[in-house]
Amino acid sequence: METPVEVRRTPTTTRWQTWAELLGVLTVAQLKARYRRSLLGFLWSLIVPLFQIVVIGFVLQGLLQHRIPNYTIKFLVALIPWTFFNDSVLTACPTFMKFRDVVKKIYFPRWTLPVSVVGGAFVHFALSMIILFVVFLVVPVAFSPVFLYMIPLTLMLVVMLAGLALSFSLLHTYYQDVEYALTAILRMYFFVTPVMYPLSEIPERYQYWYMFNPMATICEGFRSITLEHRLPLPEHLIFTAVFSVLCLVIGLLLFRRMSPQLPEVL
Amino acid sequence: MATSGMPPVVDLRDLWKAYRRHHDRPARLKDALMARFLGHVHQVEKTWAVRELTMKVEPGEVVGLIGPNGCGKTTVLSLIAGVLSPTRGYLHVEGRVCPMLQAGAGFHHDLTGLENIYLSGAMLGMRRAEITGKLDDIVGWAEAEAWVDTPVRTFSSGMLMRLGFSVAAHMEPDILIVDEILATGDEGFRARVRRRLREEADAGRIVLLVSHYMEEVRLLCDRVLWMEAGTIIRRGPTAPLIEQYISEGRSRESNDGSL
Repeated sequence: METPVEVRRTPTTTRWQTWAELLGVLTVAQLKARYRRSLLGFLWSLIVPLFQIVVIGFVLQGLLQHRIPNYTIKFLVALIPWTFFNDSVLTACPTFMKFRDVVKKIYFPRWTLPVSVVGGAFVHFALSMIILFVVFLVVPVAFSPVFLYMIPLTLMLVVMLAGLALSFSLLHTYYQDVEYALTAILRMYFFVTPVMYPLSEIPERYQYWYMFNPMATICEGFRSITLEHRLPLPEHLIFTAVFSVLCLVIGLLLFRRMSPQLPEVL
Repeated sequence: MATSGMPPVVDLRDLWKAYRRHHDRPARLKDALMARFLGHVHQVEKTWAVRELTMKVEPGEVVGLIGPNGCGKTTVLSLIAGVLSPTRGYLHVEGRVCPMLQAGAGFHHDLTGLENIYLSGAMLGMRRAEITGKLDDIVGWAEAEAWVDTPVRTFSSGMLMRLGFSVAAHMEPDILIVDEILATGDEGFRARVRRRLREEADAGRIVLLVSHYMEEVRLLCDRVLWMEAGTIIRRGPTAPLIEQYISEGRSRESNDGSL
């Protein structure tokens, strides 16, 4: 049956500056709210992973020392992008639920909600990277212009995360299982991705194919760029870039389709 | 700037809005898969929250929507605000809409009043510089100087509403949508809100008001739309329509005899 609908409306905000500002305000608000009632505040976001590194690092260093030299630093370098990925996806997942009151009452660019979570995680990521560079001075690890290649890798990661955050937060409004499933899947994915171990631990004949995993390219990429001043292979980089853009496209398509129904579903 | 100079438009013609009432919406993935692969069809029932609704509001008008709970008033306002999209019909809304559908919607309870002004303002489409420029006015109008830098979770509902209203009112909207937000205010504040809304209307804006307080409607509205079961059954000047509304026992005032 045909249902003729005609809607004429002045677009609310199409200026990207307004969107960027909204994104910024939401990001800052979430970070502030998260640490408002704690004494150490922002430091916690560094203390927790540091503990993780110390514990896992020492345990595994003891076990693997003879095989993997400088294990702790190798772990740390890959853990930073992984944490960015993991935290963004898991925190973004229930955002629409969390902000249901606003979504039901105010019309605004709703995509800013999950994407601002990625923004918050990015702030943590950036701070961790600063700490990492301090560690590099201490260890020491030689700095090189190759380090700049972490910027395009990070960009791919941000694009991928924006898409994933959108997709999962939208699906979560229909199926709450998404969050639980995601927790389990991410835990598995953590072990498939060379975060806790360097790629060199994988039998050499599989290594090439092993890297056709976006997070493997990014985590191992961070590791090889900083510690070996070497980039991942072009085909792996292209694969990751294409995957990232695909994530964003899927996220945007889902958003376009599901966004109008959001106030009713929530 | 907010106002484009064009007069605001609210023009709905033969508008319908269906809600799909899922009797057992597949809340979990398992159910959705079962439904798909095993043919367990869950029931979806369409209910029309708004049906063949036609209304047009002229710039400078304050129009009240009255009717019993569940008659579709809030749905109409949400359609005009753009939160919901219509199922069928013609909807034309021109101008910056300010949805004061709920006081303090978009407020984050762990943030201070000040931080929330920026958050809520940004969600309503204001630029940062715009908010900063109006900050004193917003705080002053809400008479919030004393507590604006404390977390919102410590606010009373009246404080929350005052601040929420003040932020929304300062975004210089063309169309103001006020849905029962005055309920928690004291009389002094309600009088100030009424004055403010009247000023906005006199400046050529559109004000739409939903209230169950007939006194509020009587004091504020130029005309009234009476809704029952999703559509407008009567429309006209405020005073006679409210008389009829009360005498037909549709208002709470007829039951307990007081406001």
